[in-house]
Parts: sequence; structure tokens; C-alpha cells
Amino acid sequence: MIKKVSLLPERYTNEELKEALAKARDIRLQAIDQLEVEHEFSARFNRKMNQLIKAESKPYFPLLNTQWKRIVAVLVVIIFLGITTVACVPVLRNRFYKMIEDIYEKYSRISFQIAPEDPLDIDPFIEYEISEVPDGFELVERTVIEEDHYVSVVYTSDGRDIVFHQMPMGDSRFSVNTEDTRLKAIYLSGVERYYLNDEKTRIIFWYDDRYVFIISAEVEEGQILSVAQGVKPIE
Amino acid sequence: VLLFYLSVIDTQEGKTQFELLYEKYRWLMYKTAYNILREHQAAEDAVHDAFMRVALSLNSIDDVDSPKTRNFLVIITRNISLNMYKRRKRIDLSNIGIERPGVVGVDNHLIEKESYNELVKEILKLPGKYADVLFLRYDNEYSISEIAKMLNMSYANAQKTIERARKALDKRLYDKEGELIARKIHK
Repeated sequence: MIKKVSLLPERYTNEELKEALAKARDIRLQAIDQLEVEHEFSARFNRKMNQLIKAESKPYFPLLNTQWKRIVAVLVVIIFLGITTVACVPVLRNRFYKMIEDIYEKYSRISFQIAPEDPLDIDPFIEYEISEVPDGFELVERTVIEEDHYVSVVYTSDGRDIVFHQMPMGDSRFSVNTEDTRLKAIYLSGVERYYLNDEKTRIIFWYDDRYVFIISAEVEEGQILSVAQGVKPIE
Repeated sequence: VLLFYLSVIDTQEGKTQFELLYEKYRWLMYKTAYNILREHQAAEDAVHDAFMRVALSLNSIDDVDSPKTRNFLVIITRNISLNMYKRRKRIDLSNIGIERPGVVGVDNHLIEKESYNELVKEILKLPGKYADVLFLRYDNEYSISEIAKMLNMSYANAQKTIERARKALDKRLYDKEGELIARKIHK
């Protein structure tokens, strides 16, 4: 499930997308209903389908649903019986990610591209936290959705917020206001991060090979950098 | 294993969930397949293959009568039919009507005339494979692994297609409101 970050209003919310898809789905199905096709199912088709219906009711159907799988199943049994040693060769792969910044007149959209041969495997869930906030800030909201690997935490002080998001990289997209500014790449604690200074909000984000981390805060530059440095996995 | 056994327990009048799906939707699936393949026997083969795939994803179907289930079966049938078409004809699918942006049987001009909101219009104009993964992911709420299995693609490919579909939809909406100025790719 995509979690969006409310740094800028999106063109549509997830709820609006779902509603629109439901409407589009109904229109699409209606269009198929209106297609005029005359046909009587052949005896060959009926016979094949009856066989499939019978086979489907067998508990082992998922294992034996194609001719190839049947052959493979037999071979696996033979090989398994004859095997004495198994040599495992670890497969080494280099992960390859790209962060994409689409720059529009007033904002930039950030998304991530993952090499198709190297799908993102983010299990098990590791929850990160902010270990240090400036004086006066108090935790007011914390959302953790383990199955989505999503964390959102809000600290507040005198109407100013520090918001932290942790999201899986694959699905994450967000927009930042870049009307009068541009994203700046900085190194902090040896990690490349992206920093943005809006009128009153400062934003910093970075990613590792599983998660994207975003902090948006109405604090001084030095303070947000300290907050970012203090983000760590909960032990 | 338990879930699988539950799926084959008789549901109504001694029929399994699979039989109910077959009786209820074979005609819908046939029309979907025929609209792409334009041959009766090929369309029947596509429907049979689609049911083979559906049989392996029965655990993902909650309600036989739901419009989401209907759409799911259409998507599976479309996917199989287009693959069959590609194998048979070996030509660029963009040359045939069905894979043009737009909905089966609904012309783009008609979509524009209707009072749907912009998002609905742009979804309807998306290329079929993009619309399909968006339906499966956000309307049916299937996981990427489930979608990969349903569409017979790798996890990475399913993930990539969903990303591209979102971007294609975004682009259509952006194009109406403003130009993309630049794209930076950070490694």
C-alpha cells in the first residue's frame, strides 16, 4: 500500500484513486457487457473445462496443473532419491537503485527506480526512530503499520512540528515545494542526503537499500541536521 | 494448505467456488477473449487457460458476485489473450484497436464527453496493462506477489509495471496542468 507524505498536496489522494478506479472498473465492465458476440461453446471446450473443474477439486491441483509441472514433479522425486550431496553457490548481486527527481515549475516529485533483476526484499520490518529532538518538542503522534513497513512520527512545540516518515523505497513517491529553491545533496555522517530549505520548513531525506526516510521540520538548519543524524533502528 | 482446502469446500448447491465462477463468468471472459483474438476456438482456449490461472488464485477471491471479482477475471483473460495474440501474430500490439489507450468498446471521444472526473477519464485512457495493474493493486488490493502470480510475471516486473502505471497516470494529469521542466536521476 502506498503511503503518501503530506509535504505538498497531491493531484489525488489514495482514496480518490480508489474511488476513480472503482468508477472506471464499472464503466469498463459495462463496455464489455455491451459487446455483441454470438457463440456456442464447443464440445471440446466443455470437455476441457469439465476436466479442469474435476482436477481443481483435488487438493494436489496446485502442484500438478500443467504437463510440465507433472514431468518436473516426477524428476524432482527421482533426483531427490538419488542425490547424496548438494553444493550451494551463493549468488552475488549488486543492488542498483536510482532516485528520480521530476522537476516541475513549483515543486519536485521524488520517486525511486529499482533494477528489475533485483526486486526489493524489505522483510523483516525494522522500525526506525528519532533519538533526539530539540528542547521543548514532545511526541504527539506515532503511526506504525508493520505490514506496510511504514512509520510516521510527529513532535510538536509551540505550533511547530517535526515530522518523520519511514517508508519502503519501492512504493514511495512524494513531492516537495521547490518553487524558489532546489534540492541540495549533502553528506551527513557519511550518508548522502537531500536537503531543502523552504520559507519556514526544512526538509531532509535519504534512503538506504530498503527504506526512504524523510524529516520535515520547522526548526533551524543545525537542528534538523541533528535530528536526521539521530535516526536509528529501534533495538 | 487449510485455505486451499477451504476453497474447494462446496459453497452452494454442492458447487465449488470454482464452478460458480465458471458458470457465472465464462461468457464474460469469452467476450473479452474474442474481442482480442477474433477467433472462436482461440478465444475458448484463452478462457480455459484463464480459468487454469484463476484456479491457482482462488484464495484471492472473497466474493464470487463482486464487481471486483468480475474485473479480476476480465484482467486475467485479457492478459492471456493478448499474450496469445502476440505469439500468434508476432506484431506490434499497438497496431490493434484493443491495446490502444482506452477501454474495451469505449471510444476516447465518448470518455471525454461524459461527466466523469479527470482521474476516471485518465484511468480509462491508460494503456490496458497499466490500467490492469492499477485495478489489481488499488481496487482489488492484491499484493505485488499476488499480482505477479496472476499475471504470470516476476515480482520485479509486476512492481515495475505498477510504478510505470502510476507515473503514466501522473504524467497525464500533470500534462493538463503544467510541463515537466527537468528530470534528474540520482544514483
